[in-house]
Amino acid sequence: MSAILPQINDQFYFIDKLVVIVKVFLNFQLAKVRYILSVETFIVDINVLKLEANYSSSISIKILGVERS
Amino acid sequence: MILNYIDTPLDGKSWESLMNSCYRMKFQDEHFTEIPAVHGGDAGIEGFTRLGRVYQCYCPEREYSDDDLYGHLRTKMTTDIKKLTNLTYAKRLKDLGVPKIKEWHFVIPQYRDARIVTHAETKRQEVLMIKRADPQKYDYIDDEFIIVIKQAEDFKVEISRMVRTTVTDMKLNLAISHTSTLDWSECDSEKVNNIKRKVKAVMGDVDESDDDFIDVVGMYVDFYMKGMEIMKILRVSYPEVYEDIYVLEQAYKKQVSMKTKMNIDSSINAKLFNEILDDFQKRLEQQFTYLTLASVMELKQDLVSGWLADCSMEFRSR
Repeated sequence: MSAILPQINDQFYFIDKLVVIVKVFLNFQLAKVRYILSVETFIVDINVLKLEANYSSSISIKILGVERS
Repeated sequence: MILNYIDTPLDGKSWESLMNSCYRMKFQDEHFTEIPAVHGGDAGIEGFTRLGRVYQCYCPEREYSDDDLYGHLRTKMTTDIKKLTNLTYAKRLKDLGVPKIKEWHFVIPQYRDARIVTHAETKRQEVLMIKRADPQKYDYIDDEFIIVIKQAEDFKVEISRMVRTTVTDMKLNLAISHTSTLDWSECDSEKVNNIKRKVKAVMGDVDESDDDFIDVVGMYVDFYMKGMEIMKILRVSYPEVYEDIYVLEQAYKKQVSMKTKMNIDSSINAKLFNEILDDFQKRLEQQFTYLTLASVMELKQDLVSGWLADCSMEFRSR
């Protein structure tokens, strides 16, 4: 279980961006969050939420291209 | 199904370093030579091969609109092609032993419309016009000179191999956005019912009209459907990554099945479920050091949703 126990309205970093906790489902290690300047919510695993931003470079399979069978 | 991938940072220095490694791997038989910019500058290129290919990297530092992206790519290409026809840079290229330049590669993560291709052709014609005006001065440029735009996708094989073998610090990102707008009717009702039954067993006495119950079931249906899509993509486009995941999942799934079926105390379902989540996450983090943390969590929830949807994870109801 994450060292962070998020509460509604808490703010954390989701990778490099700040998010606000909208709802927590602790038994499932999930949280509904929204970006600080957005109203659209999305679901994240609470273990990915951090107190500091992560600016490490990574390469997305979105730009590497995907083929479907 | 359209998957919305989560954008993660990619800075210019990391991009250049990754591409240098890709060029080294792809063009080793052409005696690829990297040009570090530390002493005397990089001569306007990052490296060259003995067959006359030179390349220049560029990575826009943030997510731009299509127009802005084109604007930045255009400006960068214009600036760098200007350097190519600058005789000061030409002397540096000759001093470095760069052979007659046949191909100038513009290496970028991606482009989204054809305008940059048109601009490359305009610049190619300009370079050849300059050369024709004074062939002696510009003898380092080939008569058949071309500009080639290379994207990350052109190096998919090299990148996935390097990332997997952790030759580079760069990690692979496959995390997607999970919004709650999924149409459940696209999911097999038997799978949805399995998810419902097991979520209920973990939550305890809960009515199916409970908001949290509806939310959690919806999340797992979403993870399940999108997770299957991700696995399909990995199987076709990144078979080695898929194989790594498949082997781990098959082995772990058996343990999960045993652990949950042997538990006769339904009051500890939530505790047991969390122990499984924690342990599986730990295993994923240990094995997939080449994936971003968000990607590891994506896999964790996608695969767990699969166990909830099929028969490998079974909780006794209270």
